[in-house]
Amino acid sequence: MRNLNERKAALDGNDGHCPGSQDVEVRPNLLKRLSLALRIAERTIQFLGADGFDGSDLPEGNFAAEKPLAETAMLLYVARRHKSDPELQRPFDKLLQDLIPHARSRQMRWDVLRYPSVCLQLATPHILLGALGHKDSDFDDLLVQSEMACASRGHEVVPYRELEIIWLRSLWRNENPGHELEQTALKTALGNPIDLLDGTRDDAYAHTHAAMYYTDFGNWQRPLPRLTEEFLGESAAVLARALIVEDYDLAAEALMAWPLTSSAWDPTAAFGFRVLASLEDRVGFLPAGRSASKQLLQLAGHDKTKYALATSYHTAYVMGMLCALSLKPDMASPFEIAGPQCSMTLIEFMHGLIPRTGAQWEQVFQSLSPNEQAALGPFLFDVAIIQNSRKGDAAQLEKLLQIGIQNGMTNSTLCVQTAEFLSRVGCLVAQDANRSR
Amino acid sequence: MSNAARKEEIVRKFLGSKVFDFNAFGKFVAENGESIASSQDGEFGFVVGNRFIRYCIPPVVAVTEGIDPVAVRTEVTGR
Repeated sequence: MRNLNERKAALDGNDGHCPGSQDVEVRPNLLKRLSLALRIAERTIQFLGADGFDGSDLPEGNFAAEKPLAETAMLLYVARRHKSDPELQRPFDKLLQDLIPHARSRQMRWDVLRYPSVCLQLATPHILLGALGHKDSDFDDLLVQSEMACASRGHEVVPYRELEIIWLRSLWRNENPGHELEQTALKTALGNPIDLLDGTRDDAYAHTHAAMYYTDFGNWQRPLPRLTEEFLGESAAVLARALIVEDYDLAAEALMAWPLTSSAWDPTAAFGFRVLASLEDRVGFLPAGRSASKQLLQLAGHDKTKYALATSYHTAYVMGMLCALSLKPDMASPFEIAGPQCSMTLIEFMHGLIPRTGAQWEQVFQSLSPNEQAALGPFLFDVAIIQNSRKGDAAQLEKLLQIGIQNGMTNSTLCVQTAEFLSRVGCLVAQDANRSR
Repeated sequence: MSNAARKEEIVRKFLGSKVFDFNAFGKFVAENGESIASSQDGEFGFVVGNRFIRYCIPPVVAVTEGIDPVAVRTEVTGR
């Protein structure tokens, strides 16, 4: 494996590798979307970079400046492989220069030395700026002292956050992560599936984030603890569920799984990308959900801008990161929906089993060609299972598994979890019947 | 046996077991109400924890009175 500096040179385009192996129409499209994210990030730093967001009386709540600062640094880190592109050069450099004083402000220095148990997380912008070639030895000295403090291991974290810490430490020390990374990954969603039917939003984010840190946002190509196809099948189910409930932040994160693992887009993933891109085109940025809060209309000036950015920037960043990752030389166009075809009879049948909610995916599906629709059998199957699970229609779930078996579509974790759920239901119902006799 | 085949086999075994009894399930739901089986209320749960755990995870916002996000385009993008 190459050391970190060699890998960075490769990512910066200095290793003789010619980027731009993508379609001449696709590449500018993705770069334009990434450029939009950088522009939104510039505004986010301008309005939220110093003090974060004070929304204690709003549903969005508060967040400190360290949150958008860390996420902005991540966006730059992922975008860096394309920074020499004429469309990105100026916004990339401007954002980088805007971020530096906030990332290494007196407040951030104080926080790093005051809270040793989370010092690496707090120093995320500093560490990523260092990885981008902008080091600061004074800040490093403070971080070393905090990292050596006896309280530095005093904050327990869940396994995917452990992966994050290993990743950050590795970047900071410019070392390849050791065996610890693989051992920790076994305990995350990379090693074990999340509950795809009834898992929480936290579980879904654990699934998406583990892949980001384990692969250094697609830079480390190491094998996953289990088959990549299996993990991607679960990403497809997370994506389907996010599209159903119109959680576009989670949808974009779920889509990252394909480029993070350097896997070819499958029809479900390409369709998901098309849904997000169409929404971004309509709205002007990728919104977090179908609606923005009406509360915005009661605000004006700076307050309105801060509120709008606080509730929107994260999803816009994720879309930018997704586009940056999709520009990897080994990735094909994320817009192309092509794969094994199901019969249109089956497609129409499954489509008919799904209740209409007006979600964006439904409109995009209607606009597809018959060939594209026919490639989306597995997606419709996942949606039908998830929707019927949400409704609690166990009988319909059982029928869906029958249809799946007949059409070779039950080799997924979602189907196994559905069968296991129905078995448990069968057990409960039998117990209940015995008791009432 | 491959992993995919193993998964399909689990589903096939479940269907073959006939452990799921349509009639008994229908009676169960009739006696306990449909809400016992529904999971819509808990969709994706909620993010809990301190601020550090919330990195990279946006808050769940229940928009009761929503507007088209197009209305905030200028605020977000500056254009």
